[in-house]
Amino acid sequence: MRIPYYPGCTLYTKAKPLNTSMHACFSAIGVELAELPHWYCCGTTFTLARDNRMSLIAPLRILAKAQQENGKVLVPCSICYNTLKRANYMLNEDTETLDIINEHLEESYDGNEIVLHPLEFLRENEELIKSKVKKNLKDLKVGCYYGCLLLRPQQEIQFDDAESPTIFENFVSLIGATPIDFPLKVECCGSYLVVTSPDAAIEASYKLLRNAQGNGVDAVVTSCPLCFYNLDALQEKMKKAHPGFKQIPIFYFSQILAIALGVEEKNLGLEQNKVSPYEILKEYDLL
Amino acid sequence: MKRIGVFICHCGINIAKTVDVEALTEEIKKYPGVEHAENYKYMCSDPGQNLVIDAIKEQKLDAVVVAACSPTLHENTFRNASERGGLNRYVCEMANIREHCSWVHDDKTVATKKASLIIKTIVEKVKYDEPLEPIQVNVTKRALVIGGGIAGIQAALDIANAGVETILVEKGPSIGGRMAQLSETFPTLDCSQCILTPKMVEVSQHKKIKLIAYSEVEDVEGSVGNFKVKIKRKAAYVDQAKCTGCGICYEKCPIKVDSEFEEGLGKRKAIYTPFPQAVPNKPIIDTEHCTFFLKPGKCKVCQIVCPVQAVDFEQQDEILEEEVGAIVVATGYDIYEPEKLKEYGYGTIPDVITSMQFERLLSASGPTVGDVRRVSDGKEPKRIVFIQCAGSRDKENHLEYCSKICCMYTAKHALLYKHRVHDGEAIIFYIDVRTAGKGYEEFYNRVTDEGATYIRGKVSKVYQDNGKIIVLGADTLSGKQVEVEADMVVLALGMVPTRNSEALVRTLKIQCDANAFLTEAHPKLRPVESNTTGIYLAGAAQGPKDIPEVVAQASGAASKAIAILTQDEITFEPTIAGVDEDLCSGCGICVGVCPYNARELDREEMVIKVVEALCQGCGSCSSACPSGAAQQRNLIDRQIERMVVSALEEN
Amino acid sequence: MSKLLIDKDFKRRIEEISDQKLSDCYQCGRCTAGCPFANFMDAPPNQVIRFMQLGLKDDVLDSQGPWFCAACLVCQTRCPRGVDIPRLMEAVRVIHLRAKEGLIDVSEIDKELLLDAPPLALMSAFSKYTY
Repeated sequence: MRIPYYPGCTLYTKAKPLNTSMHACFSAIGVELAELPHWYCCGTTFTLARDNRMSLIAPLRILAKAQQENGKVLVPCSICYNTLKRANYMLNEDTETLDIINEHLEESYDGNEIVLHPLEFLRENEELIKSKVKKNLKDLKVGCYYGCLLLRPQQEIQFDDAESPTIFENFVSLIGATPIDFPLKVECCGSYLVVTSPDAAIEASYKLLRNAQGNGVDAVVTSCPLCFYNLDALQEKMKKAHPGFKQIPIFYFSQILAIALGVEEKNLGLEQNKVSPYEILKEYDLL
Repeated sequence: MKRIGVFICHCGINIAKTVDVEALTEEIKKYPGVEHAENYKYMCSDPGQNLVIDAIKEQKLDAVVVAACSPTLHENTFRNASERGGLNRYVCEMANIREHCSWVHDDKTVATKKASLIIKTIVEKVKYDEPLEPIQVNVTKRALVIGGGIAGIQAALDIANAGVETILVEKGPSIGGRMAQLSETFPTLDCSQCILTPKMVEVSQHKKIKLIAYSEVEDVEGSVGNFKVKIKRKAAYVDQAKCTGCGICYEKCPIKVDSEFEEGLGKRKAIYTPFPQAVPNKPIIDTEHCTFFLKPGKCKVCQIVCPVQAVDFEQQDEILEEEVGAIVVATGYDIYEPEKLKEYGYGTIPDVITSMQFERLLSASGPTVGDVRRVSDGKEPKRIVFIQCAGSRDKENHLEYCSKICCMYTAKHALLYKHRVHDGEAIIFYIDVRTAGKGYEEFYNRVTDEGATYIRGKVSKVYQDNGKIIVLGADTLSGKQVEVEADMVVLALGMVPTRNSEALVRTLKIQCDANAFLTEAHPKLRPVESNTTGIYLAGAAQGPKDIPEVVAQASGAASKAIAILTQDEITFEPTIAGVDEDLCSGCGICVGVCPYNARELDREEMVIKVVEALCQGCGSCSSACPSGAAQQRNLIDRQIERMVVSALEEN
Repeated sequence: MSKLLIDKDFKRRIEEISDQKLSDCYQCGRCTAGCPFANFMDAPPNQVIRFMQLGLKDDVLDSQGPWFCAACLVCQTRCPRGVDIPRLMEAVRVIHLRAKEGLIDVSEIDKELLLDAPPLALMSAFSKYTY
């Protein structure tokens, strides 16, 4: 099996572990990730101004490019996924804007591309994953952090229920770990406020990590490089602001999947985590 | 040719301001067939009616047209006047030149021209009107009340007290409904059961009331005065005649089940009565939980211990057939499903409970005997957050409407909680506090005086954090986000019509609105009548309302039923469909289009017969009939054709 | 006391850019209740919308609220009136940015953060806060 793949900028820089573990996982389950040729940035945020057509051009060109490959494109980064999916939804609803943008481009897009998140792909291929699991995660207690972009707006994203999603937990169970529900799993980590108001991001991330810890998790899993940064890299600062805070390792979903699939440690990218994940992995005998 | 009189009303200035009534009168006088035309300031006044009566006599008129307001308002007035003048009432017609003309136009010339056209078309109609006689039908002097909550109880008692035999059908094992579950009632704080149970006993002892509990109406045929009703009495597996209600069966039954009456906060047995004061006080067996039904032949403890051998595992559902003259529908309400409010944690956080569960906690007969206790650990909650509009006034995700009672019952909850737990803190999140009702604002003032804290803002989320319940709200008045740690959260849920009542609505051929509340015949002037004559509405089935309003509406519905059921005969308008048997080929198309089952094919003569008591004169058959045999009396094709031609000729 | 002067042109501009109807909001405050950043704002979301409803242009444009909106869409998900509040906040930002009033100057961003943060954090912030 071969599936078009859009990594996005961050997976080539600060989120390399997400990219390498994605490739490792998919090759382990026998699916080739076919990276789109000559892809560019999605624009990072979906514009919320209805009169801003410029911001739709990048997503439209990416979708048009993906369409030449296959009907579906796999997008692991939550931000890219949200931007592409919302742009796709909007261009389908507002065909006038679609036509106007198409007029100005070499390529042409008809609105029919399907933007797929790896968790959706895994949901559709449960049996395949199960058959490839080599290392059961032995009840590692995992808090699944969805964040905003995989869930909202629900009508446009259609990923899962926006208030009480379960797709992530089902995935975690599939590879033998124990999903631990925590109510703030759908709340915001502070996102790009980390640039302008770091305190806002530190407080928001702290609040939800504490909530996860209160429910007894060993680690938190996410799919978004920005959430990962806020939850992982800001922990030092959380500790300064809240001296009693105990650090907790953060993983990309593809990293724990890779562990379950028996991928070599060098392909997991764990060394880039700010909060060391090794102790908990050793404790569960997963390394 | 008929001698026709036309009477034009000014309606003060309602008509005269926009229509030149003098010029109009002169114009109409010239129209063929019109022998007499005049105008008057208020035609509906006594002097105005006398003008009609006098003119009929003096001018020897054969038919009358009154050009005034809508026939829904004054058709009866002028038909009565015409009768007093010596005419048959059905040769008097109204031309609506107010709602259809003066009220909707500004230009006097154009409006006068239109009024003239309207009158002329009605003159054409009246030329072909036949004298008709009202249809008379004998009345079955019995009533059916569906639903045994406070609405149904009140309606049944009122009708029975008027001397009319009444059948009260209740779906559950006991009457009492939602009111039986409530603790105390706002704004007077009467104990709900204390004021309800005397009425329940009165029902059970009333000589004119036949109570059929644990039963449902399956089918209704016929029409006002003569309904034929099929009632399914569900198998209770207890012989109601033999059972003395001693209670030893449910004392000994080994199976415990969450009690519906206690909203899951208490237990009942597999053989049970829902609560101690149940009426009838005869238990039923819940076959979904009874060991005998799950493992056939096993257990039978109830049968063994019953001193009068009343337990009968062989009992079957039975169909009862009853004939009644009028029906009151009082099927009540359920509360909105709390599970749909995922962001409030109902179902995952044990101490997030519904308003109805809180009623049971406050009730002296409830699972905690009136002590407010947490579901999770039985401790007394020191701070309770009440969330108003939980799922209400939310067109985007839940119910768009306001359920009217939640502000008041929440105020009551806060007060009763303060009475039970003196150092307890009651915090109420609200959007608006709506206290329209006698003594209600005063009650709300009392609640704030006694220390309840009202915070104006809708709660966004309720969640558990390190063992505490966190309520994430806002106070829009101070512009602050508010986070409250609560020991318990009560969701003030709105009212929805009783689930699965749609089938009954279809059976009764009455209407309901987009929210499934029953539709009244007129929102202001006919609030207790359905659109089907002889079927009346009472209680929350028609729309959210509190107990005093429910009782008032029930008495209103009862009086409407009594008005019919105390007559020997009732009359119907004769302006219904007829059949010209010479033209009818018996094709049966009209049978399919009739919404009232008022048309039957006579297979021997191969013609259609009209069931006059059922026909409502809607006209569906006449428009569907390919041969023109189906004709509405006094609105035959010829009349419609002449009316259209007359309207077009002028242009 | 100042006289209420509803700036209708400003209201219209907000409604056009956001594609939202300000009269839809009945001020229940649920957006503020659930906003993760409301306590950082001088005027929380429902108040900014109230300023908009009253056409108080200066109050809207002076408010820091919209700059703290991370477009997490919790408010949009739970709004009982279907108001897409983040679009209203974006409209305010866009009006500032089109008038060449950004919140941040790229040259002033903390160097450590520039080296450390993932590009999408910076790109998102630039698209929301710079012109």
